[in-house]
Amino acid sequence: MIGGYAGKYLDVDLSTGKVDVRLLDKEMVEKYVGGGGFIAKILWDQLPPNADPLGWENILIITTGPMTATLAPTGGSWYVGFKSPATGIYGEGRGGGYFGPELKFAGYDTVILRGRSPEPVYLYIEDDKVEILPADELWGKDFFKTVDMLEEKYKGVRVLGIGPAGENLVKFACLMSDRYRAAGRGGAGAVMGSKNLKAIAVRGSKDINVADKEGFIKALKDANKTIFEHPATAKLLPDYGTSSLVNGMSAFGAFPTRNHRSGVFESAEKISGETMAETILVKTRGCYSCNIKCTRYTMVREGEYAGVESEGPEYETINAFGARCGIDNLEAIAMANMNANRLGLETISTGTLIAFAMELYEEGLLSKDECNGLELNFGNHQAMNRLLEDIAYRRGLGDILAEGVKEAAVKIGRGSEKYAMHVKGLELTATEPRAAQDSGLGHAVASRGGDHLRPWSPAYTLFSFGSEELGLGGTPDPIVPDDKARVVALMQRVSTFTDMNGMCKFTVLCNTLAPSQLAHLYTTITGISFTAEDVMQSAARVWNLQRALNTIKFGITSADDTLPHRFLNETAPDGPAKGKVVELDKMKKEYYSLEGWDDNGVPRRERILELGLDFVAEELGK
Amino acid sequence: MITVTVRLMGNLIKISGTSSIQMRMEDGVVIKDLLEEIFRLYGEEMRHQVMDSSGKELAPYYKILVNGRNFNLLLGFDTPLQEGQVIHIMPPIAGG
Amino acid sequence: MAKKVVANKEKCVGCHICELACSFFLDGVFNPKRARIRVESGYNALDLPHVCFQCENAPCAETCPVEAIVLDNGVWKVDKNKCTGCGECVDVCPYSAIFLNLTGEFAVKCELCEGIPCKEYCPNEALFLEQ
Repeated sequence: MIGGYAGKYLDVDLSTGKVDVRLLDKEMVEKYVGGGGFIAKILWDQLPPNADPLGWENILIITTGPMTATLAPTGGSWYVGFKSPATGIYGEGRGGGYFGPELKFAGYDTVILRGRSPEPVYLYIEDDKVEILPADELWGKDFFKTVDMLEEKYKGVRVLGIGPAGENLVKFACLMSDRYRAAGRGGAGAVMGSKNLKAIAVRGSKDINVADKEGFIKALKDANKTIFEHPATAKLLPDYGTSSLVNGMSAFGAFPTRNHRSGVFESAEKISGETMAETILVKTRGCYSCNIKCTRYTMVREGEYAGVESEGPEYETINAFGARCGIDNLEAIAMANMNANRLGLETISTGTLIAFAMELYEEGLLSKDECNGLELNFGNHQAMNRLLEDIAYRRGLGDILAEGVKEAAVKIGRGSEKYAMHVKGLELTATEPRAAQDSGLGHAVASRGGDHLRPWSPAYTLFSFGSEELGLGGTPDPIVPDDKARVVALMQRVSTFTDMNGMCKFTVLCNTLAPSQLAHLYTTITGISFTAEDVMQSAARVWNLQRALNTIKFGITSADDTLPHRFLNETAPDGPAKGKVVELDKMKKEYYSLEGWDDNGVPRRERILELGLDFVAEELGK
Repeated sequence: MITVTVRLMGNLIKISGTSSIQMRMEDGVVIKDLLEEIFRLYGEEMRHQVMDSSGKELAPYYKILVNGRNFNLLLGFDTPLQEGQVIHIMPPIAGG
Repeated sequence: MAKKVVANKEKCVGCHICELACSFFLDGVFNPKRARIRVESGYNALDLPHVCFQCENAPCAETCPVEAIVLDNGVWKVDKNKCTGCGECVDVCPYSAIFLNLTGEFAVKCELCEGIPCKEYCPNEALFLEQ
């Protein structure tokens, strides 16, 4: 018996209303594990390469991993995969909350959504019952209201869906689940909206089995012990959540400020985790099966934003709506966070777009009239919150910004491209790459575009969280390019694996769990024997398959593995990286060579064959 | 005499009651001297947080930054201080 | 005073690990719908664990038409052979801490197993044993 997996998947054609239940095949499980592995393989096999991301041909994949819905630490993940409308390449995201486990308890590892429904619908899943139902009453509602209405109708249901931003095809609309959990950078919400699908509601009552119970208890105790002893997972994340990073990143000059002009925010402390704990924090929460508990439930108690409550804001959101917009008002950031969750806007990209517009306004490239009458200076938090809603509803300037920063710069013209902070069309995140060179490389080569999570290498290069098993130790120098290709490649493997197995990246982000511990959990739950090398190898297989999709099917070349003009041409104005640019070419060359990619960034035939991706080799050089 | 700014984070703020201290020090002092002065000002609890049990090294995962540079990349405890520098004393940090 | 598992709802983080631990250690599978402790969570900051209070005058036992809920060493236990799965106990429990099993054949509740895995695996010390 293979444990951990529900063993079945749903194949839903929204055009015809046909729902098929299929069995998961063994090769899929053994070679691709789950999550991003399943997504890459399904997209490779089934997506027409030239599919319009917002057309009926695109495929939206909601999936889990074998650790989802188990006691494996942080085993609460769900993932989404698609061709991104923002980038035109591989799109993937990971969410927490409760939805993923509930889907597995209903008996399904994965849901594949195809076609386009003629009318707005939602999908209801209760064990063997799967129904496509009219969503007339839900369409147009924000996500919180959508969840309320579905919970009212089906007691104990868990909900994934979109807000108005997804319905309005905002290119960085995300999927939301369980009210406050988000996933799908690059416009998963727009893809779902384009399919006229508002939500998936699920209730389940089936068992998830474990192959080797005694072995699993041993692996679990060992992993839990590490989590409860490592400072990142035992102390900082539980005490301050991801916002514990704010002060630290700013100290290292790595906290993007005013649309990435600088990495030092003079008011970082006012929007830090420490300040949050003393002001708006209500309680600490955890996603399903999480023993790290980084979620902050917050409520603004006084002032103009009084009454705003939500989970978060998280580190990335604090930077996006805070420092990057020059805003030091934590309550205003909480408001933007709550509204983004409600409307289904992905916060990192939304903040990037607003910061972009603010810089254009300050540089005189956009007038007040063109900014929906807003005085869009850095620091104007009322204007930020107004513009956020205008984006979700595509009003005025919001309609242009809703296209994503790459496309918005094309539409605006006037040399605005220089200020557009993205890689391959995906907006950048809350690490200043001149102060953490590795982060520049990571963003440039990641499979979904400007991605900070595969890997979040500053955990090692800035914060010195090393790993014996990975050979990462000592105090690396973050502002020089040396050795960064190796660091990025190694840490990418581990975070790619946790994006396959159903756990949360926070178990490995600071090198808390080692590959051997991930292997032990996987082996005992599934019964498929995995070593630490297998963890690294399977992650390499999936990473390279994603890369093959991007290069062979979607036309990405080495020229696309680049960074915004600012990081390659403007030196950092202050902080420890003062006078530095990102030395990308040197790191990229080394990285390609380590990965076994040719000068154009395409995986070489021998590398592809070594990873067991023979079907990719057949497409090479066609 | 020189003046440097010391920035504290996380639980160190709770111990000291402040996140930022201006310190006047003799010319020619190094990080080690600065730390001793901070421990003198804020007591043994601060020392026990920041230093390991031997009292000679930083506690695990603690970091000291001099103008944003990890002091291990400079001269460690013997790094000389200069007028106007910002010194961060940083407990382990995490997130993403 | 009877022994019982008591929950501190202020400390509960809504991770549902107690449910997973209960079903895994008692039933050998992961399935919260088999668990004898259930957490209500997801709405705003609410995280509310429901677990048997081992009441002195237990409404469940008093209501049971077939006297299937019996006191054993201070702990209320369900006699599965007697229980008809009528669900009256579920309706009257003031703590919402007794449930029907998956097939609806009999009632299940916390009967204080050995090791108390729900408490052992709780990551935030929200559960404790009261004597």
